[in-house]
Amino acid sequence: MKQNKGISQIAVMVIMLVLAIALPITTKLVQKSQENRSKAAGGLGYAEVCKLDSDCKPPTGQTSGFCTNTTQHTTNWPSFSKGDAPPVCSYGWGNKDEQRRNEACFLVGGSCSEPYSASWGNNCKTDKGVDGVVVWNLCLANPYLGTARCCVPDTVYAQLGDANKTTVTSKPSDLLACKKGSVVWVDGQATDGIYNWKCVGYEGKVSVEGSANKTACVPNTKECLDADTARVCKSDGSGWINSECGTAGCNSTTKICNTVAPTATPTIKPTATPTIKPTATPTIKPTGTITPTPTPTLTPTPVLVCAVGDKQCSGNILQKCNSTGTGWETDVNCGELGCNSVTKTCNECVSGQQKCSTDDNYFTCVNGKWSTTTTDCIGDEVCTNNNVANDVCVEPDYIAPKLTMHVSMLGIGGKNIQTQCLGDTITLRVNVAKFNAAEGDRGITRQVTATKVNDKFSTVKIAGDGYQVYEIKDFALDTTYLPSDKIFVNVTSLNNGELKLLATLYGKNNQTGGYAAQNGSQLLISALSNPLSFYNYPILNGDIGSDNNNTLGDGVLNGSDFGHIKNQWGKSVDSGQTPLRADLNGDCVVDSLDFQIYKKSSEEQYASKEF
Amino acid sequence: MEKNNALFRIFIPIIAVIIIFESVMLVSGLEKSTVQVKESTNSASIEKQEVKTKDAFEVTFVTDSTEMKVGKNYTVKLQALVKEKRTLDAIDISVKYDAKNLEVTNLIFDEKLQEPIVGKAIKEDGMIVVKYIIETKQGITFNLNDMVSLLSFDVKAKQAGVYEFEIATGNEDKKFDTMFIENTTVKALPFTSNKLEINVTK
Repeated sequence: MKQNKGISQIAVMVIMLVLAIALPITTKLVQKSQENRSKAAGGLGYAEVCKLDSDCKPPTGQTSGFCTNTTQHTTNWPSFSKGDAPPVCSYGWGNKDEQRRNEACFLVGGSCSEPYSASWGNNCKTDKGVDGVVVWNLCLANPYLGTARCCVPDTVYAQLGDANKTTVTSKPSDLLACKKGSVVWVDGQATDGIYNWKCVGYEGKVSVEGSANKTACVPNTKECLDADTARVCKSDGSGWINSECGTAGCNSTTKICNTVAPTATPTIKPTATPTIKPTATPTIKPTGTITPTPTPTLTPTPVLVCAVGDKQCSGNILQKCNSTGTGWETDVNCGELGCNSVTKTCNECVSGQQKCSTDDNYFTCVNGKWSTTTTDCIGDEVCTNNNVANDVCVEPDYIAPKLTMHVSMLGIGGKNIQTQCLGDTITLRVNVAKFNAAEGDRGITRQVTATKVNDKFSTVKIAGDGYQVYEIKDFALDTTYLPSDKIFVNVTSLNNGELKLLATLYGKNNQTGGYAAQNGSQLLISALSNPLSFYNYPILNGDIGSDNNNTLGDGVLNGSDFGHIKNQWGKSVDSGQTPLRADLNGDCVVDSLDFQIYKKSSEEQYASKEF
Repeated sequence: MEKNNALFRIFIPIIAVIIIFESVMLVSGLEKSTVQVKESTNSASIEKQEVKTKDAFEVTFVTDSTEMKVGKNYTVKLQALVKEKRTLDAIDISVKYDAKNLEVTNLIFDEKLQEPIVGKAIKEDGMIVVKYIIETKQGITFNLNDMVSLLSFDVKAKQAGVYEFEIATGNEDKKFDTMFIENTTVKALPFTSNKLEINVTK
């Protein structure tokens, strides 16, 4: 009994020892498994890794990966099991979208259907015809039937619609060249006699190459070169073999020479029955009647009156030669405009008439056809609404004026101020709007080119010498701007241009200070004089950037512009280069002149003088 | 045999204790690991949470009394309490007021700061505008709990009523904004402000 008790105690001891050793090992293994799972999970919820097998090969250069269509998705995407599409591989464990997104693009082909290179989230249909949505280039159908498919370019010859078709006579259309994927033409001119292209899949990650020989003609095709010449394309497509059909002609239906027509059968007249007179002596009696040989039956030859395909006018009817060339038949009744015997087509128009195009120019009818080029109306004449007449250009009821303006910019140019970092012409943005315009009417805004007016400078000096005067020419108003309207002109620079101007308002000719819009405009359209002189109130300057941004102005001068000046203080660029943002006068350096410009413009920003 | 029994009596409880210890420590460690995984999956959303930036200044209106009489001048001060040490390049101040009923005069600017490049009350817009710039390269540093006297002005009411002074933040017009521009970064620093409501009687 005691011995039994000892054995059982040993057994208990052994079991407990096994437990003590196994417990930490098991725990370690479980931890390892969890780590693997958590790695696989990444940010998207992969939880189980599938083994690579012969069906699922990793992309070149990758030694590990997982098969998309056997991977269990635990969170965002329900699981889908292996379907009927080819398996696709991915690689790496990272959360990089790039790795995941391309997983479907490592196998070429597959049973894709539109959209072939769909973006994430697009609708698609699986090849079971089920509506789905594209996830990582796989069309996944609700409830995730696992009919994943590979959306990458297909093989090229199949794309041409004929697996055996390796020759073409002209460049295939993009759709034909790449049924799936986007076409990238390597040689679309067939410079060496071969068209080469690639069909590129989603994001250009996968492509297949295609090529087709360019031939002179489609092998073995036949055609009538003209009425009496047939030809057939050589079997290798390298050229045509001509056959002269002679008078038999080329058959427009069979595209081969007609069989030889019977030549005109000579008219055989029966010889006159010989009259045999018996000589007097001896008297010979005819032994019988001599029967004349029968006249042969002859088929009349068809009379060809025209060549197949020819056309002619008969009154207002356009006729075409019938398929046998033996007569004319009606092709089109040209109606009132008539048939043109020169072009042998129906007239589109009456020769000599004009038709308005756009931008006040017109087409002219020549030989019953509208010209492809247009002619401008003379002077201010206009033509609109596709009018057709002998003379479509007419004087407009009202011609809105074109404005020419002289402006200057605070600190830019002048007698002692260089602008090496600005060109001779500068680009401005001009807005012209009516005083008391209807709500929502923002007027006319255009980007304009301003050119230097030689030796002309502002006489009013806000800082330093007068500034260079620039001309903005022919800013055309439209006909909604009536003589009785008053306008405001607002001038500024482009957002990302070389200049950093602040929108400056002009409401008066010869303006010398900031204009308050509430004063009302004094620029009456009927009393405008060109050029409008705005240059004695220079456009304010200094809108360098905004809060924490020195690349784009914010439409006001504030402390952030000053901060940008400080940050670029003393910096310079070479002459002719784009000026630094804080280089307000374009002299290629950020210095005290720029600071003065900023300071003065800041003060003027709040100026609103009454005139 | 008795000796063996004694050995078992000693070792079995010891091994049992070891097993219990391992069970508690290792399995609970496993749980911790699981929790960590869960936390890591949520980390992206935690990172996306906006970190509220601390206000650098507290701008306040100060006046002896908010009860005023028509036609009499009262002084109003605008101060900024420094809540976080900062170095500035520029300060733009815009104060919105009722220009129809209030007259603002005698603008006095902070002596410690450079004379502002703009400092005026614009009746047409109902705004007091003051623009300080600090020309020195290193800017001007304000230490925690410094009190900056941004501006003082006199106000005289034309008629009785309740009126407000308020810091403008560019809503009415972008050129009427209040900004504390930080040196080098050119960032507009966050700040808080109060309104001043005055009750004017005859």
